Amino acid sequence: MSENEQNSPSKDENARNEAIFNSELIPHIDALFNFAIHLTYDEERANDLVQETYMKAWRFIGSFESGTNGKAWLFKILKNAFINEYRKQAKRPTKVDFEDVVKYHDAEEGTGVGYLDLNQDIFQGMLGDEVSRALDSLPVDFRTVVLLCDIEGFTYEEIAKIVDIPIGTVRSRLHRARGMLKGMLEAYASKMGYKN
Amino acid sequence: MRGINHDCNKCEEQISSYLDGAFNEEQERQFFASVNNCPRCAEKFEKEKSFKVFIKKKMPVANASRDLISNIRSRIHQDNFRNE
Ligand SMILES: [Zn+2]
Repeated sequence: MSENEQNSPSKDENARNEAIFNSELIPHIDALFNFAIHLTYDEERANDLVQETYMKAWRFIGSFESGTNGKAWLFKILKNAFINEYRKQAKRPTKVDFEDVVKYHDAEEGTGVGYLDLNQDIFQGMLGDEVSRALDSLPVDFRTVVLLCDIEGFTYEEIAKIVDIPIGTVRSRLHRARGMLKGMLEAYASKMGYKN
Repeated sequence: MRGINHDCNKCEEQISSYLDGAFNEEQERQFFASVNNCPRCAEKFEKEKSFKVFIKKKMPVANASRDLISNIRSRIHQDNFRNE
């Protein structure tokens, strides 16, 4: 055993770490970027946030166990980086007319909410941009759980670790977030002349 | 017709758990026995299921640029060389 080993990783170790980085962490970059876009509303900031996330992951690659949940680990790093540096600067989306609806429907479990018939043409014809805008107008804590659960398919446990909240809070936030989203979709539909 | 032990509030919570993949096989079996016993919850289940599918299907997904990927990879690679 050389003295060197204690100070900096060996050449072999570096090569192995880089291989792990490229094969187990880089493949999640699209998912991370998508998450970052919905957090920051800004392509450049999302790029910075993802880059920072990967640099941080690289710095701590020695503590990452190959074969374990790299995706959840990266999401947690990104979430923390966002909270620390980006949250205050995040711009509001420019074209939000869903916003007032959030507050209105935050009263929750309103009449009909939760019983939308999404098979109706009005919803089937809805553009992705409109759904995306509805999501982006949710407060950050709420859109985060929807993104992690419904878009990324993380389990409640994984979400609890990523966001650093108890599982019960994950569940209640999801419930409320979905209620708000339904409210917005409903408001959108009625604006377009649809009667439930 | 509702089962003797059916509790709509509890069942509603279970709908989310099931759809979000939180149940094991046995819990799934119990959930279906319960939800199929109550028309109100069965309807709620269908609506929640289509909502979840709707969100996932409709939401556009942004991809990272090639520049970002190659930037990160080359920074890591350079860092490795510096350490040699
Ligand atoms: Zn019921």
